[in-house]
Amino acid sequence: MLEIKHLCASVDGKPILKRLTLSVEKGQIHAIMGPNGAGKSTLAKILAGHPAYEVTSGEVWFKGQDLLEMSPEERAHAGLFMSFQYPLEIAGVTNRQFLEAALKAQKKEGEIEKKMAALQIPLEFLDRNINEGFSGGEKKRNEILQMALFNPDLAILDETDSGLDIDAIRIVAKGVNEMRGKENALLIITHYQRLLDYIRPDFVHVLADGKIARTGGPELALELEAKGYA
Amino acid sequence: MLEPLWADLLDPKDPLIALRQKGWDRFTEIGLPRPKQEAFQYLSKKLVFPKRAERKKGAVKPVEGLVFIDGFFEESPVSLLPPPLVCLPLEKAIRSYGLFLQSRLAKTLNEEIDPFAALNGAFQGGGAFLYLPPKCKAALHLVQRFTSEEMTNPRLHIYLGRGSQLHLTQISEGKSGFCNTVLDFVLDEGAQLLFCDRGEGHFQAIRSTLKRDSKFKAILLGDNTRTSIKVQLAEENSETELLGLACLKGNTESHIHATVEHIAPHTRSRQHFKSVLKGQSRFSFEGKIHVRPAAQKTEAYQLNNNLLLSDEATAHAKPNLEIFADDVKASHGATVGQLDEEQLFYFRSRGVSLEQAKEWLIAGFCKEILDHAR
Repeated sequence: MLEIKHLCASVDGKPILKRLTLSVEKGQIHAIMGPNGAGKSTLAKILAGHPAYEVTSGEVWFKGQDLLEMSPEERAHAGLFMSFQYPLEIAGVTNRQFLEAALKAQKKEGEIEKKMAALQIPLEFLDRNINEGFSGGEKKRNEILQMALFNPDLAILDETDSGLDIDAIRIVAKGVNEMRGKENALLIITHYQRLLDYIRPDFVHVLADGKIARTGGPELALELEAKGYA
Repeated sequence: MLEPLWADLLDPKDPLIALRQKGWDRFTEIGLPRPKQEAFQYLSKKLVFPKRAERKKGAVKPVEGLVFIDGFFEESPVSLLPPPLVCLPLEKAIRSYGLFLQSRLAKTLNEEIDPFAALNGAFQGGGAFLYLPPKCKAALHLVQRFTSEEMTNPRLHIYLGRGSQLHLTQISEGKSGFCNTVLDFVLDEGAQLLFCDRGEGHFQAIRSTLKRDSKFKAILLGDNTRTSIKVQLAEENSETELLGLACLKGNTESHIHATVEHIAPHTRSRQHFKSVLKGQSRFSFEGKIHVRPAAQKTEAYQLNNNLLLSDEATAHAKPNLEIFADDVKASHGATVGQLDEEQLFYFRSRGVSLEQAKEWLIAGFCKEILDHAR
């Protein structure tokens, strides 16, 4: 589903990713862990197509298509989703307008209100501006709501657990687990192991200094939690 | 270039001749904007004054509201007003409301420092005076109809009696070659005025004097080259809110020159002007808050936000505070920016097109002002 080959990228001329290689097959859950500044969020943003990040070399293939040639909206249409670490507040557009337009743009149909109920998001949030006045946890749940609605082939969760209390993590994890299936894949970027107690990964990778330094099974996450990244 | 036009206008039988002469004298004292004159520095330097429009003869279909044709007020039955409202041509009103009007006209012309407002005094078409009796409530359209591209100088004085309320919306029909409007308001105690400008023109001067407990709110959404707006908060607990939005493209320009004078204590003002600029368009905002020594407990705020959507568009912001009282809350600020890249990316990452994302962000930027005009 996703093939990253020798990916090098920089931000403001500073190299962040250094020949990163990673392969994700459908049905799999991969977790990427690593110390702050290792390049985890950079990887997520490059996969989603953020214009501020410059890919200097390497290839990324998504479902047989050259991902790096696609605009952010084309990537979304192709079935890629990234949950933002810091979801933005946007004035002047309501959540409802936004969700309906995004569904239409992706040629998908979704039961917004039903999914909201499952994620325990109050219905009145639909008529509020995007994320405006939402708590940190509510913003993250709103991201998971979008993931649930768009039902992407590949979802990238960028630090979705940061700032969430344990109840919110459970709700988010439930949403993620309901979505997982044989046809889609998940890339979880996280600094802490605790989200992985609720969403069990098939593979855990350690990202350090811009490349994958180690790969293992779920037990690697526990080891990192106990011993640290050093 | 205006002298021959003025000479043509002189007619001893004209009932407004004395007023015109005062306007012309004031205009010649002030003079047209000079190069580098601060108040006009962002305005295109080339001014073309077409021939002055004459009153058009012929039948006109009645319209609800106040109707000006090429700068000449059309009396009832063309201007249909709900009873008990009566709007009179200035020359008749000077007879009926002489005491008030003579002193107001003299005051506004003597204090005027804007050459175009003074020029309107001289070149005005047929001006008008509307009196709102105490406690009267009305919503009216002010219709500026242009039948030619000649120079038009509409002039309207409005007196809002005690506790009266007026919602006035200015619109225009046809295309003007050069329109130079003066709108003058006096708000008696407790009166409230909401003025919404959706018209097209070139120069426009809005003058307003507020008595105790009155409120003047203006929302400028029209298409004018330059609007000069001045509000005097002359008595306690009077309040003004001045808002505006200019969406410009191509080679167009729009300039706002706003002055609020806090004369009495416990007065409040808020100014918020925004612009969205495409192409080679140009916008400027110069706002002045003047707080006199007696105006303690003044609250005055001023904000200007500009959204630049093209490398060739320009925005100038110049807030001024002149505060001579010591117990005052005042602030001013200005921003010039572009669409937020992160917000655009957020939308696009959800499959929304760049075009739609931009449209949403621009609409969101404008909404804060437009919501006031709903």
